[in-house]
Amino acid sequence: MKTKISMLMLFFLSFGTAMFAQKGNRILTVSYTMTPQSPKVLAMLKSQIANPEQLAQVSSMLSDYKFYYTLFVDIKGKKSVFALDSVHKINKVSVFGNLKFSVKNETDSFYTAEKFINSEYVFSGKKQELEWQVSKEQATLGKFKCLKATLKNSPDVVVWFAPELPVSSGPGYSYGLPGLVIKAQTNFDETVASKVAYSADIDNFNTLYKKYSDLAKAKKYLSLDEVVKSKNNFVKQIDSKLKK
Amino acid sequence: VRTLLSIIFMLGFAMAPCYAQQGICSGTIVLSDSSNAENANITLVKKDGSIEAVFRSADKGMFMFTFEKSEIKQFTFNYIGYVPVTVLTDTLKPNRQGKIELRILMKEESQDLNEVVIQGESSEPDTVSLDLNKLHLKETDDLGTILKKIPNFRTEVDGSIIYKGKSIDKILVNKRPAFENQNSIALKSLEKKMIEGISVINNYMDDFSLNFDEKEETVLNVDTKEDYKNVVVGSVLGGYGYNKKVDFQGKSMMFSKSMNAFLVSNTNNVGKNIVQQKELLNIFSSRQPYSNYQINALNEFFKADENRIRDFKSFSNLTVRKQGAAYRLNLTAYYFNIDNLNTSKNTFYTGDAVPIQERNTSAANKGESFMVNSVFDSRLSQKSVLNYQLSISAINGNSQIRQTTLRNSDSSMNDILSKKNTAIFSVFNRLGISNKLSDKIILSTEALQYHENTKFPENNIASSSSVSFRIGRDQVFKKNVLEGKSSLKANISAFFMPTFSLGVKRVQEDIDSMPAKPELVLKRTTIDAYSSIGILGNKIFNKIDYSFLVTAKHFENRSGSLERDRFLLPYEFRLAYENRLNNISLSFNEKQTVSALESGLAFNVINGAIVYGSPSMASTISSNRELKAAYAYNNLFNGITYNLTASYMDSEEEIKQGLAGINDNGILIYKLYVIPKETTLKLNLNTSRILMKYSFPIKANLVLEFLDNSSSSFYQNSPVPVRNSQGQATLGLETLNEGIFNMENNSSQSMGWIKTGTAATTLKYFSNTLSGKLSVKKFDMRLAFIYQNNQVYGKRYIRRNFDGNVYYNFNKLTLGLEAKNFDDIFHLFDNGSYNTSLTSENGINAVLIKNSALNYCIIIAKYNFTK
Repeated sequence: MKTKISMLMLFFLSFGTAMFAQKGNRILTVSYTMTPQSPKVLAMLKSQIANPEQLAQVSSMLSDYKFYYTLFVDIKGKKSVFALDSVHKINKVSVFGNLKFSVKNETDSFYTAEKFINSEYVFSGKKQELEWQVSKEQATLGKFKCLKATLKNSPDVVVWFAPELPVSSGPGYSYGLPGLVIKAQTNFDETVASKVAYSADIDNFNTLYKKYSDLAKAKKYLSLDEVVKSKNNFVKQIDSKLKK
Repeated sequence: VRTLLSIIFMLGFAMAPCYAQQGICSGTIVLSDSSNAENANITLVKKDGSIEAVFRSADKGMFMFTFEKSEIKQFTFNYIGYVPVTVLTDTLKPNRQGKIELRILMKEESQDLNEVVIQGESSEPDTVSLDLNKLHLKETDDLGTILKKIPNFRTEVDGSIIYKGKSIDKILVNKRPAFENQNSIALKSLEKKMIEGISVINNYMDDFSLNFDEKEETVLNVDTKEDYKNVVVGSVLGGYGYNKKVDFQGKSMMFSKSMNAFLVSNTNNVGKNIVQQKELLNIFSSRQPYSNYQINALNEFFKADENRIRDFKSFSNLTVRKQGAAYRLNLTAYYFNIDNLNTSKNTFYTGDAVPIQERNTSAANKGESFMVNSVFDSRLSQKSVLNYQLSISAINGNSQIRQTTLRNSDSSMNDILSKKNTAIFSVFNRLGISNKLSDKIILSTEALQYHENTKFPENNIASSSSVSFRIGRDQVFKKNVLEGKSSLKANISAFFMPTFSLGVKRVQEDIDSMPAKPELVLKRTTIDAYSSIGILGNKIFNKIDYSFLVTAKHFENRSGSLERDRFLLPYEFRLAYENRLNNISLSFNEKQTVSALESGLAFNVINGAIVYGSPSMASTISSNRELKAAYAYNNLFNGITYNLTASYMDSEEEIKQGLAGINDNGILIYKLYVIPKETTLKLNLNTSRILMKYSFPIKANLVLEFLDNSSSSFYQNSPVPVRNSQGQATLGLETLNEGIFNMENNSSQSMGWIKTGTAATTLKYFSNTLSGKLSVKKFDMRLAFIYQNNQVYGKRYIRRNFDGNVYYNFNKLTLGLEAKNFDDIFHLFDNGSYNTSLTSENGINAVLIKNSALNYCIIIAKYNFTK
């Protein structure tokens, strides 16, 4: 009889342990909002629109244009998914482009899909290829104290990350920093985290991860270097046209 | 050498403090489950609060770093999901080697991290995608089942979907209009297997209305899987069972880029409804309200009553929504056919609980109805939109009510039979054109026409045993409405948009007896000339909306020889504040309504009773005021929602029936009275959330309601104050486990007091439904036990019964067994009464005991066109 009771207790104990083990498998979920507005875009507008009232109106329309993203990070599995949820479009406003999604696998390879000037492509790279330069500049965003970092590979990328949230992820391909990226700016847009929470819903994460990993399967992957160069060329072309 | 040694010695002394400023710290970070924390962050914080450096722990949670002792105030260790650990450098003691060694133990946060708002968005994202994966859904679950599992949505029996305190009336499919005021069809027709995703769109705008972007509606969008686009999808279902019970359903739907269309049909005698009356009224009666005759006739079609002996229903709906760049066509047609029979026992009491009459009733209703509504919108230019609406409805009804009455005062008994045949036809036309005169001004003009012809070729009460008496009022009612209206809307800024409208409405009504007798004709003409001024503003500080509209009306009422001119000033005001999680609104309005023309009939027969009115009643105008405040909290992230609503209504000069007596044939005789004042207070709290989200998720729903109504009634020509107070608490619990077994329990307890004059009567209703749900791969089963215990006038009425269903799903085929109230087949319990209730109306209290219930047990087979 005692043996049976012990067996039963052992069964419940293992069952309970399994449940708790599952509970510990946490997913960090971060909501981001991206607006197609940046100092560079504003400078471009300013050079094209002389009327200050019209400039203010266009600028306001741009700030109303929003892309909503969610980042899911599997803290233990080191995988992450960053995906576009919805877009709030403004009539008569078109944007240069936007990120569609980005996935990072457990071996730190990332695949990012982007739309830029009517073309869609997927580029890939390794987390280790991203050369971040952390500066001493600091700011408090929401309740988090953040440090500023710039990406040597793409100098227009400026991010603010929170060491309090030790997750090497952020919007798009901002992987590899010792903290979650709360705010990111590029030549074309600005992305800010609006809320952060975490959950144990690993099933949902796995479904999303599979979905976007499948979508990321492309015939040809560009490299980050190629994408950055193309964008820089585009900016140079615009700059030169504006100067004329 | 001595000098050299002295210099080295001196330098050594001088250097020592320098080395003493630099500290070396190393150690390991261990989590509470004894695992090591790899990639934890160690932040070095300076005395001024700024960050000096960030290090990460390596394999096995090990770390090592150097720091300036004089500058660093603390180390903070962070790991996601664990309580941060802060170590003050003042408290650290180096070991013999001068190093600081730490073993950091991090404890798991006892509660999951609540949502942290980093940068508050002014409002919820325009489109919120719902996470369906965590709901553990079956492929056969319909949209109603899916929404019921999400705490942030509330679905009601009448098809209402409430989200963030707002009612959702439109359901898009693939972001294109599909179900408009047809939630009940959508909730049953859209199934998980065809759904790719569900989202709430908070800023939906109609493509074919000119406006200044001010009206943003909250709608639900269902995206279908690719296999379900551009093809006809649907299912057919056939069921047959004990006692010749049948259920036949057919659904076919087509969702494509240019057109969304569906045809649904259901013929059954098991009490199922696929269409709800409230939705129909929103489609057909919103611009030109239906008359009392139409509403009463439709009530017979849609009155939910699970206590019928016979309940045949056949409902069909065809909807086509086709949209191009320049035009849009919405067409929806309904056909209904009913044949039902129920039996009940009524006892009427005076306010101080003296029985007046007892009735055993057998009521049979038959009817059919055809209704069609079409709206055509055309964009004539970028700045001009034309709308045309045509609604036609035809309702035919036949009711026969047999009653055996016992008058308590003298124990006299009578058998009476009331018969009523109804034939109603109505047609409504509306033509409107809107022009954007400039970026700031919109001019809209519309013309409306309505015609109604209602006939009661038979409307009488007679003795059912022998033709000893026959009292009747066979009549015809005609109504013609013409209205013209123009309005000018200006957009001075998003915060201030004034509107100005001018209109004239002429209503002609007459009631004639059948066959026609000129002396019995009652006519009324009302001319309503009005102008209204309104202002509205949106997104003030990105959070506040308001609107105010006041109308000045000159109202001429010519009823027979009576002429009455009135100047009326209806108004409405609304103020709303909304941010990402909260929604607060305040509204108040006053409106006036002219009484029904039939109140001017000196003699009438309504629902098997004699009703005496007077011509002056037809010129009565009642006033209604309503003040409403609502608060809604909605956190989709955490699955929590709270809604609190308080409303206070008062009305003046409403016309109501009062019992004047019972004649020798047992017929109730009512007179119409003008009730000087009536007030109603309603409070409602509705809260829902997921409990134990990660270990054993349970959806909990608690509803608290309170109603207090003060009015006066007339009994035997004397006014009697009546106060009705009722409170209800409802608790629902539903487990949402991934496993094979789930449970659901819904309990409801109501308590009330009805005070008539100085006498008070109490009532208590309790009901509980406990369901067990088993789901193993292709097999689904649900068994529910229902228990009711209602106490009225100190007497208990108890009901116990079972509902249940079993389904087995093959690829495209589902086989099942559906059963309701099936104890009435096996008779385990002695159920003599169902849903017993006490009401106070017309100056008397009435106890209604239903002594039968619809019961069935049918075998069904369902075939889906698409896998």
